[in-house]
Order: sequence, then C-alpha cells, then structure tokens
Amino acid sequence: MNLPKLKSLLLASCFFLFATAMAQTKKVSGRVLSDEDAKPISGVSVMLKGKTTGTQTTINGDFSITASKGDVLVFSFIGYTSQEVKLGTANNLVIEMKISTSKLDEVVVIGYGTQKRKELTGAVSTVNSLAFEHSPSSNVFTALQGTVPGLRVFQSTGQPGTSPSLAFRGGTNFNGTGTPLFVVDGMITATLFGLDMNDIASIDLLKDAASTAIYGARAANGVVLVTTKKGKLGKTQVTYSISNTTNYIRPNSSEYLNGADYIRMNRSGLRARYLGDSLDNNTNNMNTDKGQLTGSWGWALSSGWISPAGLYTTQLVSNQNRKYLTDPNWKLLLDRNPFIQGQTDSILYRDLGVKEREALILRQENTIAHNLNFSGATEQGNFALSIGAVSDNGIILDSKMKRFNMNFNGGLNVGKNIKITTTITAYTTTQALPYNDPAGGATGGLLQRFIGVAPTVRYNNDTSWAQIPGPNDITLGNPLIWSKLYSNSTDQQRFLGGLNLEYTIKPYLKFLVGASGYYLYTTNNYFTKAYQQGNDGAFNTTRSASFNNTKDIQYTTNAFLQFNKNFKGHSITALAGGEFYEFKRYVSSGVGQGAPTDLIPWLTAITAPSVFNGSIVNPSSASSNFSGWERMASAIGRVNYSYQNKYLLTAIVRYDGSSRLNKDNFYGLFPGVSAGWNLHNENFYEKSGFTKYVSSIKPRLSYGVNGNNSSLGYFSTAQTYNNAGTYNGVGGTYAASYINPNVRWERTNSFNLGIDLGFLKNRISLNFDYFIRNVFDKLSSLGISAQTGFTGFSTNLGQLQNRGFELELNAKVIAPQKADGISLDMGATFYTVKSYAIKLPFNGLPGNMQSTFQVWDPNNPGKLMQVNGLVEGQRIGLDEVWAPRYAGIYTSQDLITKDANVYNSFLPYNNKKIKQLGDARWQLVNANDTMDSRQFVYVGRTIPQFTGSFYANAGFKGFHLYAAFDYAIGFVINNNEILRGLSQVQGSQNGTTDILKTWSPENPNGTLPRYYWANQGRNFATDASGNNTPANLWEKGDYIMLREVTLSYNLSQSKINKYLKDKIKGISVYITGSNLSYLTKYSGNFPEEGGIDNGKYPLPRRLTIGAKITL
Amino acid sequence: MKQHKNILLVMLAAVALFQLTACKKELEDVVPQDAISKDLILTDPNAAQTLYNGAYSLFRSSNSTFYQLGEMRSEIWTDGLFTESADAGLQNLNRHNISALNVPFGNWGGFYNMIYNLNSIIKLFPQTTLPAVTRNTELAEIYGLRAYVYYTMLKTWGSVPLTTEPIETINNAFDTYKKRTVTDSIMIQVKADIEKSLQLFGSSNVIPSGKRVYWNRIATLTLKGDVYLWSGTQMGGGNADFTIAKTVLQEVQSLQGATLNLAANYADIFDPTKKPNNPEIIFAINYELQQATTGVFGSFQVNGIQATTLSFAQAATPLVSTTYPYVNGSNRVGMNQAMITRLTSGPADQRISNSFKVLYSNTTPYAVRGVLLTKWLGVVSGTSQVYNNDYPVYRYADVLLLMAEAKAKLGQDPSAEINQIRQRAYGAGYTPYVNGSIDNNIKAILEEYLKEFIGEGKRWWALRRAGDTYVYANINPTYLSPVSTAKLLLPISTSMLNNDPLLIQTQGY
Repeated sequence: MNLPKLKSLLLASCFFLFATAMAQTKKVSGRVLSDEDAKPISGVSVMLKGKTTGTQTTINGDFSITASKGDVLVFSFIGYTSQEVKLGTANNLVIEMKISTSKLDEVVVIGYGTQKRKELTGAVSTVNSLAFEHSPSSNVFTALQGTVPGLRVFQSTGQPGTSPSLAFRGGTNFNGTGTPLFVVDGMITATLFGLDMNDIASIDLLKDAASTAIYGARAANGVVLVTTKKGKLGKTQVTYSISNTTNYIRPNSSEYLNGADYIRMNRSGLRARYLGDSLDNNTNNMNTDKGQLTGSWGWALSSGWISPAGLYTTQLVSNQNRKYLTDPNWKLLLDRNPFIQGQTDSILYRDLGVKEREALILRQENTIAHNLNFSGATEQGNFALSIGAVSDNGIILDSKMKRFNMNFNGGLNVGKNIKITTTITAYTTTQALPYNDPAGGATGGLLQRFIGVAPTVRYNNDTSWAQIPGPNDITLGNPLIWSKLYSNSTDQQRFLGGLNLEYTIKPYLKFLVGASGYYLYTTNNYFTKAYQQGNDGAFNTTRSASFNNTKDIQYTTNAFLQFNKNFKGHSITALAGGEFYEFKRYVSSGVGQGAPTDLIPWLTAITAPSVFNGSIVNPSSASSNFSGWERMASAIGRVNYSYQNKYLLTAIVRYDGSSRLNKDNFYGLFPGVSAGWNLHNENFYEKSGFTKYVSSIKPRLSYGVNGNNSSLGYFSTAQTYNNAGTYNGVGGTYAASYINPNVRWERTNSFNLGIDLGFLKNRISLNFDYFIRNVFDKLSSLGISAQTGFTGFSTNLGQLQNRGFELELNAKVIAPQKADGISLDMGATFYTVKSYAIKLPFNGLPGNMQSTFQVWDPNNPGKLMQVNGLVEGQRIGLDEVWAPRYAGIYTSQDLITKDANVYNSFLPYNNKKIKQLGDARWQLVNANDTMDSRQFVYVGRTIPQFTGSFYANAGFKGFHLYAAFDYAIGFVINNNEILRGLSQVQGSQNGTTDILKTWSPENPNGTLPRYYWANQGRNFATDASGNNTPANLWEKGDYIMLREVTLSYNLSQSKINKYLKDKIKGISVYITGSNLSYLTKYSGNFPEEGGIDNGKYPLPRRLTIGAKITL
Repeated sequence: MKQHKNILLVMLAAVALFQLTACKKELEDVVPQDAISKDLILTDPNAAQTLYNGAYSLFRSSNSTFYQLGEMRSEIWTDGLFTESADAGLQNLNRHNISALNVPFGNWGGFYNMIYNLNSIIKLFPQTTLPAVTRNTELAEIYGLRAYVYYTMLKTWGSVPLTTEPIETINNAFDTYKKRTVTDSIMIQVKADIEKSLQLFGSSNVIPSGKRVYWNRIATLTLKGDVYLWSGTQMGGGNADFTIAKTVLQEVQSLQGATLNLAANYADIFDPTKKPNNPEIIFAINYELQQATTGVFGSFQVNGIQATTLSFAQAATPLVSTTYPYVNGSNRVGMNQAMITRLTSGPADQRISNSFKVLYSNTTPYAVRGVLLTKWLGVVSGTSQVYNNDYPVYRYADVLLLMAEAKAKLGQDPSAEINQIRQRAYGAGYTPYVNGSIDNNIKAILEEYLKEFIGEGKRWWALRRAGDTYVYANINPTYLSPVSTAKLLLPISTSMLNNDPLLIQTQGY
C-alpha cells in the first residue's frame, strides 16, 4: 500500500467520528466500566456523534450529558475500543468498554518473567500472532519467517516438518550462521520441532545482549521465548479445531529437451569435444571420444540398450527392432554421424517427457490437523489441556510426517500465598523420507537429478511392459521401483515438563522455585529390500538393516527471590537466584545384513556369524555410547527500575559455569544494562502540541555481554585419542587434532540503540533498533605449520562485528468503531545487517587474511587483490561469488585469430590456447594475461542484504482477510538445473532447452557458448565437475513471497445466541492459501536460499480449509 | 517482619552455598566417557596397545598417497584409454602437470599427522606399563614405519622439516614454524631409525605366524637395502652404499625357504584367502571385511552398467558383468594402446594376466576401451564385492630385484635374481637373461619392475632409484624432460608457505 492511499483511509475514518445530526435534548447520565474487571474508567471522552458537544467521565467513571433521543454517543479512550450507543428511552446507562490490545500494552516475555512493552528497555520483538493463527505448517519455526526483524529465516526444502534455517543478527560465525536459544514456557529446548501451532499463545525474541544476558553463556544468538496457551477466568470451554490442507505441486520451472534434441545435441557436443581433441593432436583422447558414441550414455548407441530391459532405449534401426518403426511408443531420429562424413544414423528411441516424469515423483497430497482444547480457570486455579494430531504429507512421493501431541498447563493456588504451576507437553512424531535430497554440489539436488534423467531412459520392459528399475540410483531410477525399496523412518518422542512454585512471603517479596526437564528419544530405522542394481544389473540381496537410537536427558532446577515494590513514583522489581542445568546424550546403534526375506525389516532376521577368510565375520554389529554430557551452574540477578513511568532501567547479571571448558575457565560473567525514557510521560511533552501527532516516544539504550559455547564440543578441552579404526581385528586410536586445553567461550558484547514511537494516539507504532555486535574471543582455527602433525588448532583469537538495523511498523489504519466494525491493520518489518572481520589470528599475511582468493583488481591494472574471504577491517566476503565472465563468443575465425595467444589454464588440452568457433570469449580483467581464476569477477553475495515482511489484516462483521508477504533482497543464485544441463558434466543427464540457444555450426546465431559433451570446452564451468559457472548465468534471487492469504469468518455472538442458544460459544471458519507465489525474476521455483540451487524439494502451494468450534 | 527476614536470609544463604560449593565439583565430574585419555595410555597397557594399532591404521589410511607417489608419475598410466571422464588429480600426476599453483599432496601429503603419532608412541611407550619384550618389538616396528615414511617424503620433496618429537603445547603459530631440513640430514635420520629398529628387534628374523601385516625385522632389512641404493645413486653414496645394500639384502636372501620365497603362483600373492603365512609377503597393509576395505583403486575399475557393454575379448563375450557382476567402481584411469601392446604381446606372463584385463566394446569393431585393474578386486561376499586384498609394502620379489639392482650397480652379474623373477613369471620355458653392460642390466631390471609391480606403487621409485636418465628415457618428453629437472621433486602449496613463513619453495618452482 502506498502512502497517499494510507492517508485517504485515515481521513475517511476521521470523517465518521465527526459526522453530525440534530435532535431534541434531555439529560442523560451513566457510568463507564472496563469489561475486563468491571472497574470504572475515568477520563473517557463522551461525544455526541456529529456534534461538537462532549464531556469526560469522572474518577468514578460517571458522566452526564445533554442529548436527544436518537443521538449517538461515542465513547473513546486510549487503550480501549471506541463504542457507539444510540440513545433510547433510558436515561441511565452502563457502558462496558473493551480493551483494545495496543502494541504498547501487550505483555512481553523476557525470560524468568514478563514485562509490559511500555516498560521495556531492551530490544524485544513479538511475533504477530496472525502469523501462526491459520498457518498449516507443522513446524512452528516457519511462523518466524520475516515476522521478527533481526532473525533471517529461510526454507530450503518442502519436506514435511523440516525446520527452516535461522540466523540471528548476522550470526556469531564468520559465515553468518548462529541459531538462537529456544525457551518454551521457561524450559530450554534444542528446537521448536514438535510443537503444535494451535498451542502457541505468543512468541517473543530477545535481541539485544542486555536482554539476553539473563540467559548468559548460551544467548549470544538471541533467545526465542515461546509461551503456550493457559486457561482464562470464566466458564470452562472446549475448543475443537480442524483443518484440511491440500498441498499442490510446485512444478519444475524449466523446459527440458525432448528426446530428439537430447540425442542430437549430445552427439553434436561429442563432435565438438572430438574436434577439440583433434586440435590438440591427442589421438588417445580422439579414440576415447569416438568410443563414447557407443558408450554407456543415454544418448549413445550402446550395445546394451538393444536388450528389451537395457538401461536406455537409444539404438540404431536394425532388422530386430524394425517393428518399432510403426509402434507409437517409439520415435525415429535421423541424425548425421558426428565422425563419419556423409553418414546419417537412423536412431530409434523412447521419449519420457518431463511432465510424465514429474507425475512419477511429485503428487498432490493432503495435510489434516485436529486439535482439541479444554481450558478454564477459577479463583483457585486454572488449566488448559490440548490434544492434537497432524498428518502432513509432502508432495514428493511418500514423504510424510505424523504427529500426536499434548500440552497441559495447570495452576493451583494453595492458600493465599502459594501458587503452583505446571506445564507438561509431549509429542510423538514419525517422519518418513524414501527420497533423501542429496542437495550436494557434485551430485546435484534430487529434482535436478531426477527430472534431468535422460528422456530415453527405460522404466518399462519393451516387450512385457513390466516396471524395471532404470539407473542404479534412487535419485535417477524408476520411482515405482525405488520408492518401495527403502524404509527410512525417524521417530521421535519427547516428554517435557516443568513445575514451578511461587511463594508470596510478603506482598513485595516472592520466593520462586522451579524444576523442568525433558526426555527426547529419537529412533531411526533403515532397511533396504533385495533389489536389482539398475536395468540388467545384478541382484543385491544384502538387505541391510540398521537403527540408531539417541536418548537425550536434560533437566534444569532454579530458585529465585523476587522483590517488587512501588513507592513515591519509584518502582523496583528485583530478581536473584541460581540455576543448575544438566544434559546427557546416549546413543546406541546397530547394523545387520543378510535377512532371507524382505518381510522382516528388523535386525532379528540377519544371518548368523560365519567364518570368512579364517576370521569370524558378523553380519551385524552394534555400538553404544555416552556421547554428550554437559553441566552448567549459574547465578542470576536482574533489577528493573522505573521512576514515574518515565525513566526505565534494567540491569542483569548472570554468572555461568560450564563443564565444556577447562577447570580454570569454568566461569564467566555476563552483565547487561539497558535504559529507556518514556519521553511522552514528561509534563513538558504532554503540554506541547506534539502529542497530537507523536503520542509516544521512547528512546532506549542498552549494552550487554553474552557468551557462546555452542561452538565448543562437550569435551573440547579434554586430551583424548580418536578412533583410528580396526586393524587386523584390533581397534586403534590416534591423535587426530591438537586439543587446546585453554580455549574459552566466545564473548559477544552488543550495543543497541532503539526508539519506540507511537503516532496518532498510538494508532501507528514504530520500533527501530540499531545494533553493533562484537564477537570477541572468537573461536577460530589458526593455521599452523603442518610439520606439527596438524594444520590448525582452535583458539580464541578472532573478532567479528555485525552492524545493522531493524524496523517494525504497525498501524491500525482503520480502527473499529464498534465491536464488529470495519478494521484494517497493517504492518511491515525490515532488517539488514553487515558483518566485518575486526581481528583475525596473526598469520603474518596482510590483514591476517584467511580463506581469501586472489583476483586481479579491475581498478588497479596489474595489481592483485584478496577477496572472498576474511581480511581484518573488511566486510566478510565468505558469501561472495566470484566467477569467470565471458564477454561474448567467438563467432568468427577472425576473433579467434585475434585471441590466438590467449592461454586458458582451465582447458583440459595440452595446448591451452585452443579455441573453437562458438567458445566463450573470456573477459580478461588483466588483459594480456592468462585466463585463470585470477580473472574472476564479482557476481554478488549469496546472503540477502535485506529481509522482512509486510501484512494487512482487514475485518468487518466477523469477516477477516489477512495477507502476509515476506521478502529477501540483494543476493545471487545459480539455477544449476540449467547449468548442469549446459555443462553436461554428468554425461547422460538431460538439460533444459537453453542448450538449443548454444552456438553450433548448425545454429550460428546461438547466444550461449558452444555446447560440449562433458564440458570439454570449459564454457559452462572451469572443470569437468561443474564448478565455477560463468558470472553471466548467475541470477538475482530477490523475491517477495505471498506467504499467506486467509479469509476467516467468526459467527457473531448474537447469531449464535439466536440459533444455537447457549450450546455453542463460538464458531469460526477459514480458508487459507500458503506459500502462494514468489514475485521474482529468478528462473527456478525456490529462491529462498542463495548460492547454488541444485533443484531442491520445493515448497508446496497449500490451500487450507479449517474450522474452530468453541463449546 | 523480623521472622521473614530470617527466612529470607536462610534461603539466600542456601542458594549461595548451592552455587559456590557443590557446583564446581559437579562441573569437574563431567569428563569424556567414550574416549581414551593420555592418563589411561600411561597406566593401562591395553590402552597403550590401541595407540600401536592406531599407528597401523594411520599407515593404512595413507595407502592411497603411498601408491600414487610411487606409481602415478610413471609411464604406466600416461594418456590412457578409459570409459568415463578423467580423474583430474591422477591425470595431473601422469602428465606431470605440476607447478607452484598446481600442487598435488598439499600439507606434505598429510604424513605429519602419522609422524606425530609415531613420535608420540616413541615418547610415551617407555613410560607405559607394557611388558619390556612387547614394548621393544613394537617400538622396533614403529621406528621401521617412521623410517619408511621419512624415506618416502625424502624421495618426494627432497628436504622436509624434520620432526622427531611430538609437539606438546602450542601457544601461537610462531612456535610451530620450522625450516626444511636438508636432504642429507633427513637421510641420516632415516638410516638412524633403521639401525634403532634393527637394534630393538634383536637378532630375530622370524616373521610372526599369521597374516603378515606388521612391520618386522626383514622389512627393516629390505628397507635398508632400498634406502642405501637410493643414497648410493641419488646422494653420492656410490659403491660404499651399494655394498651395504648388497650385504643387507644378502642377509634376507639367506632366509629364502619355506617361509620366505617367491610364490609359485603369482595370483596367490594377492589372494585374500591365502593371507596367513604367505611366503612372498614381508609386510603388507591389512584390509578386511567390516574393518577396512581398500578404496585406493576405485578409478581403475568399472561401473556395473558399463560392465554390461564391455567385453574381455574382441568378441561379444565374455562380458565384464558376467565375470565381475558386483564390481562397481568407475573407469577413469587407463593405459594407452602402446603400453597395452607392450605388456600383453610376447610370451604369456602370469603377472600381466593376473594384474589387469583389457576392456573391449562388445560390438563390432570391438574397439579397445580401457583396462580393468583386476589385482585388487578382492572377493565376492553374497551379492557384494569386498575389496579386501592386502597391499604389499615389501614382498620377496622386491628383495630379489633390489639385490639385482645392487649387483648391477656394483658392476656384478644380476642375472640370477632376474632369472628367478622371470622363471616365476613365464614358467619353465622362460628366456634366461644373460649378464650384459651395466646399462643393459639396469634396463632388464626395470623391465621386470614394470611387469612385476603394476598397481603396487613401485615403478616411479624404481626409475628414480635407477637414475634420472632412466626416468627421462621412459617418460613422455612432452611432460617431463631434462629441461624440467625440478619436477622430479614436488612443489609445496601457497597455503603451506603462508602457514609457515620459514618454509621455502622447492627449488625450481
């Protein structure tokens, strides 16, 4: 929405407030109460609609006004929803006003307690609850995408239940990664996986070190605090919600070559390769090239392909196969022989198109979620119990996640002074993934591999038409066979519980004690049935079975004294206490093989030990391990002080001891202090006319220190020997690395400058934060002389700095005049960060540079510069992309002659000056020099420079329309589906139709460099593996994602009362579209992660229909 | 109020006590539960044994490096035919495409981690509670291994940093810098380790029964012969060194008998079912199912799909997939036609037929597509190929050819040893070698080296040890010629130079 539109909406809403009418007068009086606690509200403005007369309520909430029958009284007050009452005959009114939860009044969870946003001095973001209200995602992490500035969240797979990647304020690692600490209802957990969106009441993110200091040594990457729903005062209620989501296929975005073009182009590419080798006078290679025409490739005329069950169908017409000429399943291609002048080959083949192939592996599926919630509260206590079930089915064949979960929150008041609360949550999940996405650079991603299989592949026997396996690889083979071979499931059960006791010693003094913990069991079971190793391949009856069980046990106990007192405008809340934390991990695993049947996918069916070459061989083995153990002991203190609600101060100190470190370095002190000033509460400000526009101003300043021990292993300072494997039946150990006993944890200090602004009676709120984070004592690997036996060791030597700012804007563009009036809320977030290497371990090089890459400086001819790595004082370049760029292609012999002396070190020939027509004419940054990696040019960065989101939520008479977008801007991405096709480094793979745009003698107007089989000409990568693709083919990844559109309808109370009496308290129904559309120029279909896109498992488009009934 | 104050104080005191006293102890309790510590090595002999076994595992993990250094630069694999794309690293070696910017085996081929661990054993074992006899034998083996590693490094880079003590503490990078020690000093260290090994072994020349997969006194003696031939030729030692080599090799030759001899059947040397007490093996690296199998030769094999379209004869059959249904490597290295012809023509040689097989297309005109190195294909277990051949470091054929070399260099008649090798290869009807000029004798010895040790990492070292003129005579001059002498040694990488400013680049790069 643009600014003029916003303005006109604001004007329109003001107009309604002041519209006038005339009538006969009488005296009307009444009282205004708050609907929450029925207490009178003073200072409420009471106006006659459309007139200038009005009054205010007294300290008792009373008012009286002269008005006439038919007049409309408008009641308005900050923090409450305005109300209109049409005057009838009654002269004495009781008005109940509804609290409108303005941003400033919301309660924010800050760790070991809560605070009102208006009292907050730190940088804390609250996730807009709309983001998780209707989301069909089975993973709560996805609600964080774009919604909290400061946290970059992106998804890289559509696998159901998978957690997205997170990076907080530029991370604490040089590569920009750094995952926050997760705290659910006060309990530290490793992940938010397994939580039910329906159970979430709020999600807050602590951002500045002064706030996160309360979590000390683990909080350097921010803290995500999740609060689950609690019972509320009132009658016990039962809520049932159900949603059914259809997951639509997000189809492959590229067109692929058809069978004829695929065979023709590969043969032409082989000829190009042969011509190159002949220019190099390399007879051996020329012979090898000739041999490839009948080699084992999808386009080649291998003798193996004649068999009705051969791997590919490509074959020359002969008397045996002549019958296929009239068979509609077969096609004929006449193509000139690449080696024999004047000979045309008649090639028969079958053509399996991309659409048919997509249909084999992608399918439209459903996700169904149920949640049943019982809750209620009395003066004595409260409870909320919810039970949920989700069956989430992915769009890739047989990928799924199932979950059952429960969450219980209970509170009990024992006598006057003791309050006990408990939280118990548990879940069990099963995830199945027959298709693991290899996602790797060299192997390519799942979809790049599968969609790119040669169109001539044989998935059916020619004569019996039976399904056959195709290539011997799950990512290339026939899904109808391969998807049935593996059973690979991961089950997880977690029981998490906490008990808290609050003892009020005096009204101002409380003793708090808590204990919480969890058990997490993860079981992976894997079994492979007997199978044929590809078409015509041998049968593999190994039937390997394995399992891996991990048991995590964690518990925390803590005790605090909390002091709370207000006197003479001073308000102090102080907290002091201690905490003890322990984590243990046990792993047991086993492998076995040789089961006689596919029917028993367990280790029990394995064969007995046997004697092999004189030694006993067990086809099974097991291992058990106590692999992780950690303890932390901490002292914690916090003081919140405010004076007259104007001056706010928070001071935090945490003293942590961690078993990960050497005895002498156990303890670390993590202080934080922050201050805020509610400028709008100052008399001089209230008197100034400024309040009309800027209703609240709160500058905030904070500084704090955090630790980070996640980069350390559990036993990072212990001198131990590693497993060297078994030699002649006996186990061995060795020292694999130099253990530095003196490593300490990293320390992060951060300075945060923020301001919270409220405009037009806080209808518009703006939060701005600028931060500088310094990661000191950065654990870095310091390169040492290899003669020591080690190439590096870990030491606390580096310093990293992240600088950035965050913006959060919320506006009630149209405030509802009455309970179900028109409303429109809008909001936006924006976040950017840059990271610098401030200090690096001394290594004698300029700027102590690390992992850099040398290129010619385009601005200083003949000078080299170091890029793409770390140099002291410079911005971190690890996410930069440097690549060769071609300035055009050699379209004439003259151009080649001109460059005859240009030496291309990447060429596989002995003579590296060989050039053919159509080859890339490489841009030489340093002219008159050789073409090598020093000529690479800057392409961009793979981490987005700006991320954020915006949303709009409109309501009218029970209807709500919500739309949310998130965006990432300023990064580059490489569509490797296109590049791997153009470079043809996999030999048999098919490529996109971009190949038809390449230059060839038959296509002299081609715009792309010449196509070579297996990238011999190095036109699309600098080697035969597909690395360093040309800068010309990198793309901008910038996108705006329409993440969600929801239309919901809440049946009004009056209608419910009318038709359903008191049986039902509420009904709401909604329809939600999720992951709807990327607005992007990127050619692929999944731009969220920069860098090389290998054809990932895409996010499905989702359509959800859901309902919620409250009894 | 007062009462409450007391309660408050008690509780505060309790919290403070809990923090300060109990916790440090609680934190100290957390020690690794799944790994062997240095303390354990010193107090428990079984824990100490794991370091000794680990040394052999480390030696095994360098197998690929040992092999490539010893063979890939020879002419066997230059510009060969193969069915898949080239293995770029191996191609760089066989084309000698090596420069200061294109450095193979960075960080000294990773050898120094093994050296650290060998040094560590040499330092720690005297402090352990191992029985003296066991300790001395094991130390003798470790000295032998260390000598072998430094000898290999000397042959590869010339001068290298000499480190004979494990580094204890590292405070900064500067402490770790060390210059390259001149080649002569490295050679002195190698010879000193050999003598130390011999001294610790005592006089026992017995190879323990069972699999010959541990270093032993005969291995040290053979290494000594090898080393002195090298120092005699390459480092100016001359006849004095050749004589020492001859004497020590004679000692080994005198042990020829039932437990030490040429295996009549060449294939038996590598047969995984004939490992125990194999008379030809002196020391081999062990590979076993479920422990470790060799992955060194993956690029010398063929994948299952291609195996169905390739034949072992110039005919449609026998298909490779019929003979080796479960072999599944890739074919990315091969021999060129000239080398194939050289090795396969002439009288039947059991070494060739048991080392590799020529691959042909199974359709007319049955073109040669490459070779399959069959020496290391292990055995079939169920429906998988298990690559469990032991990899000989020294076998009796080495002793004979080293002896022949020593004799030839001393101007003596090496024909007895050459003929012993030929007789085994060609059978009774072999063509006997007749003593000739020194040059002819060396050429004859090198011809046997070529055929005897395909895939065993020996050919390049044999050429180098014979003398550099033999290197240039056999390597394609496009790739290596007397003009590029420096290339006989390897360069070191920029990152090595960066990580240690005291290092200087190998001369000539």
